Amino acid sequence: MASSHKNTARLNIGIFIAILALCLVVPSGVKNFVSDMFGEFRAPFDILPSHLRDLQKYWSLSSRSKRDLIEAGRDLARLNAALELRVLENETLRSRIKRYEDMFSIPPTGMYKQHIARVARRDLNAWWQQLVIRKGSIDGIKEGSAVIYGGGVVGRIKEVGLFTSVVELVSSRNFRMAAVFEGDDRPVIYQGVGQVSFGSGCGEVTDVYSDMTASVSKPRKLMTSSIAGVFPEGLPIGTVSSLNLNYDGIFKTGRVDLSTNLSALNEVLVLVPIEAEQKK
Amino acid sequence: MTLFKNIDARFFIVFGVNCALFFLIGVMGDILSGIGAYIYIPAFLIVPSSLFLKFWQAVFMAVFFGFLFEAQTPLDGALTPVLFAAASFIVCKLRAKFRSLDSFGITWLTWSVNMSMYLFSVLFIFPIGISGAWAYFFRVVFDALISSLVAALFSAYAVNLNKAVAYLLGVSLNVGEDA
Repeated sequence: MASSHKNTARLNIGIFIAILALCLVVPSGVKNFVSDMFGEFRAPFDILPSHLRDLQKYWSLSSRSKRDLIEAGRDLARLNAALELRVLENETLRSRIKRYEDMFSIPPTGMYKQHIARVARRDLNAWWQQLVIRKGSIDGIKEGSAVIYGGGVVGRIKEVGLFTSVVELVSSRNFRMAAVFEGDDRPVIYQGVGQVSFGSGCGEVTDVYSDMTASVSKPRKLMTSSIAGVFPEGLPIGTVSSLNLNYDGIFKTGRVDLSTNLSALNEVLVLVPIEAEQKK
Repeated sequence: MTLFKNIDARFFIVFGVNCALFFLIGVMGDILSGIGAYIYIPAFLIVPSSLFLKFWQAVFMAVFFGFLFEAQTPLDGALTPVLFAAASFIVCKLRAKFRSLDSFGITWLTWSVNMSMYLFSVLFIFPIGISGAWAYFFRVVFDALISSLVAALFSAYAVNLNKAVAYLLGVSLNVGEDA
């Protein structure tokens, strides 16, 4: 009896070690497939609470008085009118840019298809910085697409599932892009630095020319550059309040303060580049 | 005559409760994102299944939720399911000592399993990305404190929740025999 228990225990341990070894040496293709499969399985765990939050917000708003709704509608109408004027100006500017591009044979700048996506889950901590949004490959989201919001850059699409996508935030350590300071054409490098517990995410700007200055009283705005790749030019990234000269004495480095709204986003805009063939 | 003679209802009950707990852990993590904290409490999923289920059922549950955990993080390499399976294995071996399911014993077991897994993850699985040794130390300690607090407060509840749900469904859930 005791020996059969021992044999059973040994057999269990042996099988267990074999399975552990299998998990460690299995090819990466199999691991990726399994990871994707489990990612799709867990997608409803992110989507469901997001829908419940929207429903909760709807019911709380529908309990407001008619007077509140009328006032909100009036404020929005004013905002809409101002934005409609901006849209008309944009159309004028676009046609002017198109004329200049044709005149000087300049290749056209990137065009994007826009997808509005609700944020399903925020995973912001000192280890990694990512969001999960409620749109996936079935909605046309592509890996590497730019993600922005009203206040500027959010990040880049890192993984795309069927119904959800993972956005690597601009404060993530793996996020890096070309940028420029407002009012200056010279490119600099922006890199995410991460988040400290109880703090907010931030980044770092490097390869800044030594004549550039920034201070707390006169912070400099960091914007996306025309060579930023998937991001349109001129979107705000953050602000720089101090620049310190490197050891080489040629370039400066500084800390980039990002918007605190990044940790409270509910909706983002995904920009999927329209391929050149589709434009023709 | 029944079509499925030997279905173990306990497995499905514990699986269902684990899915609900997994969902709650995700919601808690979303809330704590506001202060940049990472809550790490996989022991809530591993300890009850390892106490109540048969050995291979418990290990399967641990591997399954290990893959689910890994799917929601930017971690690769299948190390998380391996860690979860190892934790489940150890709890299965020790479960005879916790047959009485007293609150203090369950809290101690869950907390120690959770913290051991957390330290292993920090050392071998999580990305380092050190911006300074002090920042790294503060990050590890802060997340460990948050996770410890939640584990200490709710571990007995998580284990007894499985028993309660099983009781409501007419199934008796007791600490299993050693493997």
